[in-house]
Amino acid sequence: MKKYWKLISIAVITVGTIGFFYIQSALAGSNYPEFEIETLGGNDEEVQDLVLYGNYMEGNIKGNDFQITAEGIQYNRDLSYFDRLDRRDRFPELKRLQQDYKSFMRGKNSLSQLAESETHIVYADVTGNSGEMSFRIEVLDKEDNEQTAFTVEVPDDEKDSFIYVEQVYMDGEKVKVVTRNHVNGSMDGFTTEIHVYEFNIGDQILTGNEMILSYSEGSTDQTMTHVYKPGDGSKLQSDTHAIFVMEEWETDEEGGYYSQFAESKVISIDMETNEFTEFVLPDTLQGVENTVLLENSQGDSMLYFPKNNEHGLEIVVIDLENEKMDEKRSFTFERDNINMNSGPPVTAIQDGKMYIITQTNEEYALSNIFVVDVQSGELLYEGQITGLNGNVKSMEYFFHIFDMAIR
Amino acid sequence: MNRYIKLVNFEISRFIKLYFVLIAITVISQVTGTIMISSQYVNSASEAIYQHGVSIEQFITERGLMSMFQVTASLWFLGPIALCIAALIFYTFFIWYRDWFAKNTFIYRLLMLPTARINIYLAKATSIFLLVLGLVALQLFLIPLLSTILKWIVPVDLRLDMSVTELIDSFFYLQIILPQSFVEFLIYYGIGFMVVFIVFTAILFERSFRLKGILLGGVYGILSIAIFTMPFFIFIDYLYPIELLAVETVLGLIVAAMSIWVSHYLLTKKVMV
Repeated sequence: MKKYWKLISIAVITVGTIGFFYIQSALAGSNYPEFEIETLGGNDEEVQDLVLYGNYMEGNIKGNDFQITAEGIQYNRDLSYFDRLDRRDRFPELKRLQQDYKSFMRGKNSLSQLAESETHIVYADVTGNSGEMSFRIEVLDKEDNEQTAFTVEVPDDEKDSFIYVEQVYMDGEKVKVVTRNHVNGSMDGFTTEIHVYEFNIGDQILTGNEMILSYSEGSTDQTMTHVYKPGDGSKLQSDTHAIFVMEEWETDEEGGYYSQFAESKVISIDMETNEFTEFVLPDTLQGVENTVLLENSQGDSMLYFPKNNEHGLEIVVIDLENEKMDEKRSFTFERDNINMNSGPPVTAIQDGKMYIITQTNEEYALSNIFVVDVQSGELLYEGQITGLNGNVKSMEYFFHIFDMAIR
Repeated sequence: MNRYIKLVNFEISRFIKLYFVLIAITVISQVTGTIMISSQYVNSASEAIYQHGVSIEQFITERGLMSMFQVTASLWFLGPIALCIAALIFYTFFIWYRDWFAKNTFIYRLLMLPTARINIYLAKATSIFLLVLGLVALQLFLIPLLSTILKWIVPVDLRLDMSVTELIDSFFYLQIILPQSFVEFLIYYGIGFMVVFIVFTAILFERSFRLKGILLGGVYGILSIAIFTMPFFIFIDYLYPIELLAVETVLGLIVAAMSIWVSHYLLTKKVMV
């Protein structure tokens, strides 16, 4: 034995130390502060299914991402490796589809490329490089579990450098795919076109291609255009409309970014008729970074813009039918603790309820949580996220919620 | 088995002096670095506060709190780690070639030992594993020690105390050496050791066929890596993450087993003395 002391000591120290470290850190868990949801009013059933994703940092260095539910907080480092590997919890709808239709859903990770009806799921993708791009459409018949797939060449794709699928819509045999096509740019700037392509899945052919509008992302005219879709991509959008918010920015002569907001508009495409409307947002929504939710109920399509203002949380409702702000349904929850400098609220909408998280300017109540009935505007639940209890000085930490999901 | 343990002990004994030198360099550099960085911070704090009348809050806002993060992100800390990594990569080759090129061709005696020749290969691989993990364990000892030194030097108002796990969370480089969970530890070091097996096999190709063997060894290495990384090129869109992990685990084991098997063949049938 004595002969082997070097080997034995290295082996014992190594295995012992590393083993002890991992056992101890698995048992003890992290030591980051606890935060919790505290109910201020309403029925706390409303937040049972809510998961808030955020990040906590002390001194810009010490911290971790976390998720908060009604049961409490869990830091990412305390999740098992396998849980961290599977980040689909952030997208409950995607997770449901992948669990229910495991085989069909392979390789399909973007909800904007999917549409679901009672009987079918359809998926649209664009593959290949400029000049030889093609659509791939895959359809799953839920009843007999039969999959069909076909590819169709993208018409006039010599001019396109990239095509993003933004939304898929299905109505019987008819499938429509809303895309954003980046046209091969010149030196002066890049043009982007929004198209609606129409397919017949019975005949497996492309039956229509309509360019809805085109806009320049270039800087020649000293405006930058930024177009985005409502929501965070966590929901299927087999809705009646395809909605884009278009923000125009004035830039400096070099075309620098983030200069000044010029105008915010809404672009709305009726998925049935391809009819397209464009309207300027009301003054109250100009000049700020917006977050927007779309809800269809009882035949009406409404856009909801939750927004922080000096009085509290304002919710601006816009009726897509008449393209105007619905003054009667827009309202403000008056609160005096909302942090105006924290960017737009984090929002989600599901089953006729709107979930809104705003950052506060208070020391120990870090975020407000609102659950609002979309139809009536009634506040169903109000709460706040609390923690720390004065253990950490405010100048030394950073807490924010960046996303949420409803399980 | 006994032969194998003897061989491992023998290989470790041959490296132990250099190993202690590496450990000494690491300890000296990291301790010195902690003292230097902490003192500099405290000096600039007292200069700002006592000579220029800056308030503590203002100083913290400008400079940030002192923590182990500043220490681990410095060359004092990372330099010796990089040196150790380089030394062990070098030794992965040297552990074989010294047996051929030392004064008396020692490999001749090794290969004549009354034991399966693959034991030589496995003993050398085990030694590399142990030496690497020993240095990882050293860091686990050192980080709390360095934290204590920092606490002696920097007053409580000016510092942000961090545990070892918090330090790992805050710094990506540390997460490579000390992954956040034990499963990741097995994955990262498993891949590392698979690569050691591949390199050993490539060396044996060279030792068996000399010039032609360099080419064969290169081809073998590329083939092994191609097998291991294949799912990332073919199945990446098709497999769910957990399935990809399972496939990679199986492929990693296959590549490692293949290396051991090929090396066994080369050592018994082809290797030249």
